[in-house]
Amino acid sequence: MIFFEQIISGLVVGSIYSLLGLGFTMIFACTKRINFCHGELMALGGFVGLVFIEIFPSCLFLSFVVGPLTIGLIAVIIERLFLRRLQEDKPLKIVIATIGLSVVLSVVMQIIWGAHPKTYPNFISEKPFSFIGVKIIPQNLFIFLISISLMIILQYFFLYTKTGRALRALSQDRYAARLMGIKVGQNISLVYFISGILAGIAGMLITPIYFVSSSIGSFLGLKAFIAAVIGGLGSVPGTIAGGFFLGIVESLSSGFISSKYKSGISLLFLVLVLLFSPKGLLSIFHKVNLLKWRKSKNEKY
Amino acid sequence: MKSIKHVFPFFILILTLSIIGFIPNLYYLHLFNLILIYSIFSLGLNILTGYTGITSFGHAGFFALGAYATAILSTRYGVPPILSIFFASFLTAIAGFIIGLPVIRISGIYLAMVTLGSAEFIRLLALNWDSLTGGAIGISNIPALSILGCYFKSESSLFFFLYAMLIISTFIFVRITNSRFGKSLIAIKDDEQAAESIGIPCAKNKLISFFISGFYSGLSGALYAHFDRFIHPATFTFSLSVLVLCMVILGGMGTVFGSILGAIVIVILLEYLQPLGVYRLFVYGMILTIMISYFPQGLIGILKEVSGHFRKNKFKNTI
Amino acid sequence: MLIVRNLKCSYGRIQALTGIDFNVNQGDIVTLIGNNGAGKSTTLNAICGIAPKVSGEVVFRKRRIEKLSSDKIISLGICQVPEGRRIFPFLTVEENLLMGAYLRKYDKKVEKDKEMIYNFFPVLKKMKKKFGGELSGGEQQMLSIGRGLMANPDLLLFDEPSLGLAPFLVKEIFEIIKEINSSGTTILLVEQNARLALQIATKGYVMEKGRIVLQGAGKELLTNKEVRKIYLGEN
Repeated sequence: MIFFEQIISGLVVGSIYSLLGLGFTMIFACTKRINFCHGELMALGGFVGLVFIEIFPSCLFLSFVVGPLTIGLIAVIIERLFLRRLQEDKPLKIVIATIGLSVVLSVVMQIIWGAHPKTYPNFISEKPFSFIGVKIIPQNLFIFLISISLMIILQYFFLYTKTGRALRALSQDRYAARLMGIKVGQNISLVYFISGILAGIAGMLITPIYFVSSSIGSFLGLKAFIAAVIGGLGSVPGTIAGGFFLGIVESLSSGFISSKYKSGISLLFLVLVLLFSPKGLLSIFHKVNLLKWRKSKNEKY
Repeated sequence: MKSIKHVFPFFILILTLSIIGFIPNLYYLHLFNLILIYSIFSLGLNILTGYTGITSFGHAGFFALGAYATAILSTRYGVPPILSIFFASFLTAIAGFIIGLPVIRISGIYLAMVTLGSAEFIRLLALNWDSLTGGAIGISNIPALSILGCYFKSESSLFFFLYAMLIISTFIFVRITNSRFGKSLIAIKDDEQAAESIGIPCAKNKLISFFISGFYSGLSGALYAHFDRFIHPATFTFSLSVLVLCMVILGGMGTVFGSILGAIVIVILLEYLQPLGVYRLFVYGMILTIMISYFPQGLIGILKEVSGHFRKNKFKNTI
Repeated sequence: MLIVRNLKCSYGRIQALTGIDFNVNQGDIVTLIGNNGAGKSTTLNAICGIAPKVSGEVVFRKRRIEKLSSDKIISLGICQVPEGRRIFPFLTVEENLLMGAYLRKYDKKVEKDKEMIYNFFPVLKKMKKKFGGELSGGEQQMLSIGRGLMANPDLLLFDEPSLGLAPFLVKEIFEIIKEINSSGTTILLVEQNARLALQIATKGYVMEKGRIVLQGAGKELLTNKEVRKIYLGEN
């Protein structure tokens, strides 16, 4: 049974990794750049959620809408102010700029909310119930369900809406997308907005279990990034799979080996994946498509 | 083209300034020593970031490796510091080479992640391998530098030693970057495919630049260990990597002078912002972001533009 | 319909166009021919509003468009079928077509246009659910043309439609272009295959090093001595 409980806790952590990792992936897909202050945006989401829950104590739902929207706006502001001018430059410049921003954000959070981790009461009761003999904490279930439904909504958005299609087109061929009349800058801002919203929601979700602090951002952000790379940066299903995979692996290893090596194991996975399949584990499946595409591009017919 | 001539007057300036004004004042001298050490460190990152175009987020790891290597050698095994410093630098250079090995397969952000991960690994090693590194307490009583029985214990004597080290390393650095090899690094940075197509062995040259970068960073770390004579893992965190990146970017990537200028400004800032504690990081973050988004040429670039306004002959962009 | 006056364009320090003038009249097929690097593609990109640093005048239906952004220009009725087809490889054929109509409201008319294109290119209808990247080169070219038509343009710009296609497919593509033209769409065609282009063109311009060196009716240019020598490889 312990095994199943570890799996379940892995799924819960994994859903947070996936949610955060999706932010990295979406921005990477559309701009081929990486936003390194994404984790800090998540932590900020937790704090902002805290503020809104204090303002509207009776209406949890409202804070769950306004909080993430605020983070989305902050992400857009960051993009417009600092990152847009670097969009066409070398990819690492944005990484350096966002690393700087992540430092700035975490210090700002420390100044405003102090160094100690903060939390708010659970949304739902903490009392675990048992399901076929496996203990489940409702709070965790809540996190899991919210993340899963967000992922489904996101997938729907990308596959079946006009804007989602335009974003996919943009990520595949920016030049052709411009020829179709897709406004590149606006859509990139939109992607930052969505990723900010996801980060905000993730921040609010983790606060009751992990507590939110100014340093949790870089920690979880890095994990989420690793998850995205393992699954395949730029691929939405890949990132989701990578997030769950990393969550489960970490949870199992801390349950059966030692929690000391939890971070070490994820870093090890990162290095292995980078060395042997830099496009992510899921790229093995994508390879078929990709190869076909390459071939047809070179063919004379 | 940058030659040693451009840098030389600058050295004389530091020397005269320090001799005239600061030697009597131990506090300022201490600052100058720090500047000298960080200048070497920042040169070490610059060859990678400024010339080859590889960003590392883990140079604190190299710094730590150099510091720990010399500290362990000189305290545990009684190796004379002057030897252990070079041994440590060499060791770090090899570590740099090994950490750089993935360069053959990956690049850009992934490589930066590998450097980040390896720095974290080195820090964890220092923290957890108690028997060798002293764990969280670190290593104290590191012997002072000495050459042939003559000790550099005081700040002022150390100053001259470090000063000499900086001149030597800068001289070698300029020679390296002006060589064919150095030019090939810039070519790799500008356009790797083009560089490859004209016959530059990109992977090999990148690895060599990792090696050199490791050497410089290890050297500065080792010097730091004998300068502070006490090291512990908390010094070598991610913020140190950010700090040195800050120096390179603030000063101007791909310029020798820029690295040193960056070190000067950042170290002085570091001191003046001491009362702010951890909030100092805010300033570094801002510097990093604003410099890279709005002034990617760094202070050197700004200075050149300003001097270009006054003088007719415009400087060529060396970056 | 389209009047270009003294159009200049530069990439960084390199001036790709050094002031060109030409007209495209309603219902025509106008072709720009010339060697690689003569500035043909740049001309098209400048008209579409995606080339950097454009100066001069581009007038489309009595409206200055050279300063407009690409989406405005496209919604005015200019659309480009780009060089190398530039299909979205991981969008299905249907989605690719819908992307062409991105600036239009998705309504019955778009559906009708889509059906029309499927009728026009039955191959595409068969491959509706396949990824763009899975198609063969010729099919991709058709898809690219179909995608351009989905914008319902009055002026369709073609950039090297014959590039990388087998000769019999090239002929087919040119037939298609003629057919599109006969249904009322004006065409500006950039092509290296000068002979084919001039055969179907009502008017032709010869470009060299960022300017126009020769102009005339298509048939006229075909018989021009210099054109025959340089671009058609005859003596």
